[in-house]
Order: sequence, then C-alpha cells, then structure tokens
Amino acid sequence: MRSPELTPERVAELLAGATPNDAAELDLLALAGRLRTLEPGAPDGLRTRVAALGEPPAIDRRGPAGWLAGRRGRRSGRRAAFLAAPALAAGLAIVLLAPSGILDGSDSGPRAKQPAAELAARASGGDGAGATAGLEAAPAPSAADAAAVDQAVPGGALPPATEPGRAQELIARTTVGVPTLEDLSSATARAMRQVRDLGGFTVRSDYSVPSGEEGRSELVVKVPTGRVDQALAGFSELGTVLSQEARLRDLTARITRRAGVATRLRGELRALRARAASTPSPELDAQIAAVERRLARALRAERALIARTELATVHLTITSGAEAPETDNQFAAALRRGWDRLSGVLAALLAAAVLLVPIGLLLAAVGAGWRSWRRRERSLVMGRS
Amino acid sequence: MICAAPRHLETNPLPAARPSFREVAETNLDAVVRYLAHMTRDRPLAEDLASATFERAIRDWHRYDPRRGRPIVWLLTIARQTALDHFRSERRRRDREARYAAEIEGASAAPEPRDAPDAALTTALAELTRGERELLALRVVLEFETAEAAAIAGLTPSAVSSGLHRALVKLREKMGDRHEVA
Repeated sequence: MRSPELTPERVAELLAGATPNDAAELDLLALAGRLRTLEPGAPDGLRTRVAALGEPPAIDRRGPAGWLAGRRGRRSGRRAAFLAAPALAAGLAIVLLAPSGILDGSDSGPRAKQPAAELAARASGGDGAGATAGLEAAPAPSAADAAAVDQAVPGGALPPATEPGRAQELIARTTVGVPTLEDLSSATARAMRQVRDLGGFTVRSDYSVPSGEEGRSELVVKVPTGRVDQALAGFSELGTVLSQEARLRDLTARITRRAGVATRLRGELRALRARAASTPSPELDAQIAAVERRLARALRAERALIARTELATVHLTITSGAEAPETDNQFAAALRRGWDRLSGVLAALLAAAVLLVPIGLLLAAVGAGWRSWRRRERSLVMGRS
Repeated sequence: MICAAPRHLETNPLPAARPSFREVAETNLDAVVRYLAHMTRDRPLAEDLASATFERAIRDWHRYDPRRGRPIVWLLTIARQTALDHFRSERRRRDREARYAAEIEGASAAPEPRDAPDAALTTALAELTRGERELLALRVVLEFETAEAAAIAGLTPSAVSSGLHRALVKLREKMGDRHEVA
C-alpha cells in the first residue's frame, strides 16, 4: 500500500525531531536512520594523510601579504577590486587629462600666481627681484639681450645667429572689466592706441554685444617684448583687472639648433662652391642650388623663431555689463582657485566615468553571462546520476 | 553499524575564536567523507576527493572567517567545489574519448562491493541524481539546518526543502519498487 504523500514542511519537522503521527512518517524516519548509518566515516589511512597536512603557514597580517590575503573569504579579492576600481579610474583620468590643462581651472589658476607684469618684466630684462620660477620660466635674459630685443623692432635688422643666447616667447592673457557699453567701446579704442604707441600692432579684434549692457571685446595684439610690461600696465588702467596670466616659452634651444643647421649648410655651400670654382660641372651646380634652397629654408625658420621672441602676444579681453568687474581680494581669489581646482578634478572624474562606464557595462555583461553559463553547467553536472 | 550523532553539531558550534586547522580537520573529516560518499556513490573516489578537499582547505585556511559560519560549512563548500571540478573534468574526458555512455556510467556509478547490509538502499540511491543525493546527505545524514544546507549547496532554502522532499519521495518509491519486485 502506498503511503500518503508527506509535505516538505512535515518532512522538515520530522527531521528536526517531531513525533511521527502514522506509519508513513515512521517509515520515513526509519529510512532517514538507514541513510545515516549507510556510510561510515573516514578510514584510518585517510585520517593519517589529513593529519600529516599539519598546520598552514602563518601569514603576517600586518604586511602587504596579510592585507592581500584578507580574512573575509573568497569575496575579499573581488570586494577590494570593486573598491579600488573607482580610485584607479580617477587616477588614470587625472594622469591622462592633466596635460590638456583641464585640471588647471580658469585663468585665475596657478599660472596667475606670478603676476603677469613680473614675468613680463623678467622677459624684458626689467626688475624681477623676488620672482619665483614660472611654469616654463627660464633665467631672465641679460641686459645686452634685452637691448638687442629692444632694438629688434619689426622691420629692423635681424641679429646674427652666431652666438646662442636666451630667447623667450611671451604670451600673456588679461581680462579687464568695465561698467558700461560706452566704457567698453572707449576702452577698446584706447587699448589699440596704446599698442600702436608702443610699437606693436593688433592681430585680431572681436567685438560683440549679446544683449543690454553685456558686451565683450577680444583683442590679440603683438607688442615688442621689451615693452610688454608697459602694455600690461596700460591695460590695467582701462578698468578693473579680473584675471591676468603670462607664460614664458624658452626657444633658445630651438633657435640654437636652427642656427647650427644654417652654419652647417653654409659650410657645405662654401665647400661646394670651392669645388665648382676649380672643377665646374652641372652636377655640382645642381647640388649648390639644392643646398642654397635648404639654407634659405633654415634661415627663414630661424628668423621666424627669433621673431616670436621679439614680439610678445597679448590676449586682451574687455567685458562689460553682467560680466561687470568684481572687487578681487586675495581671499576671494583663493576661493576661486580652489573652486577651479575642484571643478577640474570633478570634470576629470566625469570624463573617467564616461570613458569607463561602457567598458564596465561590457565587463558586467560578460561576467553575468559567464556566471549564468557556470550555473547551467553545475545544474547539468549535479543532475546526472 | 551505528554511527554516533554528528560530531560536528556537538563539538563544533559557531566558534568564538578562530580554531586551529588540525582541530577542524580532525573534527570534520568524517562528515566530509560521508558527504562526498553520498554525492559520488563511489567510496574510493569520495576518499580521494576528501583528501583533495583538505589540501585545498589548508591552502585557503587564511581566508576562513569564523564570523561567516561554522568550519564544517566552509569545508563542505570546498568539498562540493572539488567534487564539481572532478565531475566536470570527467564529463570532458568522456566526451573526448567518446566511450559508450551506458558502459562508462555503469562503471563509474556502480558502488564498491562492500559488506554493507543495505544493498537495496545503496542501489536505490544510485538511481537518484547527484543533486538529490547531496540534499539527502546534507539534511538527513549530516543533519544540517535548511539555511546551512542551502549555503553549501548554493540553493535557496525553499529549493532545499522542496528538493529534499522530492528526493525522499523518489527514494521511497525506488525502495518500494524493489520490495515489490522482491
């Protein structure tokens, strides 16, 4: 006679020690008893083998090996990886994005630590006492160099490229605020006049009035390097200085290299001409022409580099209206710099997230597929007899 | 043969402090062997797998956290993984060598001839799946609670309850069939 079916709950109760109510339940408990006695424990040989394993080696949990080993089971490695991944991503993003300047914030960033006028004074050979080294700063040029630069106004004779000296390209950015549109217009005109008076010229001028009293004037001017401090001082008087920064780029090595190339080519040309004088030939003429062309290119490149050091580039922005001037004190400037830094770092983290989220999603999908496949395989294995 | 009540329940409560590996191995060796014997239905294989289990356990002993569970649960989790790895490799070997399925299964599933009196139960157990035998081993033989058995077997507690019920019903039917045949 078949026994009535027992429910899973009743089975659990019986296994936990509940009193059986009928023959079927008694039968079940008897079967459980037989199961318990079916398999004996470990034989002596196996017991000896396991005892011979001894104790595992101790791990010094204070050291890196102990930290890596962890005490929280198999998941410790995965957990550590999940925790470390965002930090690694942030570090990677900062390393990749730092060269692009995204972390430097606005114009009131570290480059403005050194007042632009100081850098300009150093570049022109003026009094730079106390100025610390800038980002690409080099020792100030000597007075002779400064004089040579002062003399090298546009259209004048070029200095001979025989002795290597310090040659620096100066790029400055200044933002000035004025109250009204009328002030914007007059300030722009005054700035351009000042540049002309200093021997410079305006390369580009953009003037826009989006709405109401809001206006913006952007000038890119070239000023003789020796007079850029005067230019910046003049711009400061147009309104309230909102930001200022200057960068020095040392082109000495590049000019020296170009000069060396030109010298070598001159020597080559002299030798060829001497040979042609004694043994003229069409091939020698062709070689001479080729070297002359190369020498001309090298001299042009050298002159272009020198010209960059003779004239400083100043980006002047004058704003009015909603971008009206604020009183700038050190505390506010420090706060602004701090905020710029923070926003730079946040931007880097966001860029890292944008970069890594698709990869993370792909890895998560692959991981989920892998786990699903493993689960199916386990079920298949355990389902066999 | 009468076996004493599972020693791990009496002598291995949730430890307040971290026990020594030697002590844990000595206390739980029988339980591991019996678990594997029920799952594999191959005594020599079960003993080999038990040995491999403890070799793995001693390597990973530093990862055992007493706060997460009893040592026996941790050991049986390792034993299960060891057995699964063996079954997977066996399956791959069979596919590779392309032996006749019935012949190979018969050879590996046949229990070792022993002088155990319960041949009927042994034969009936051989007709259950590994998963069903595992649940019987955990809940009936080793008397784990449903939650711990679920943790070892990688199932939910309700799956353990229903799986155990199915296994017992099936076993009783097989035993009943044999009696009728007899």
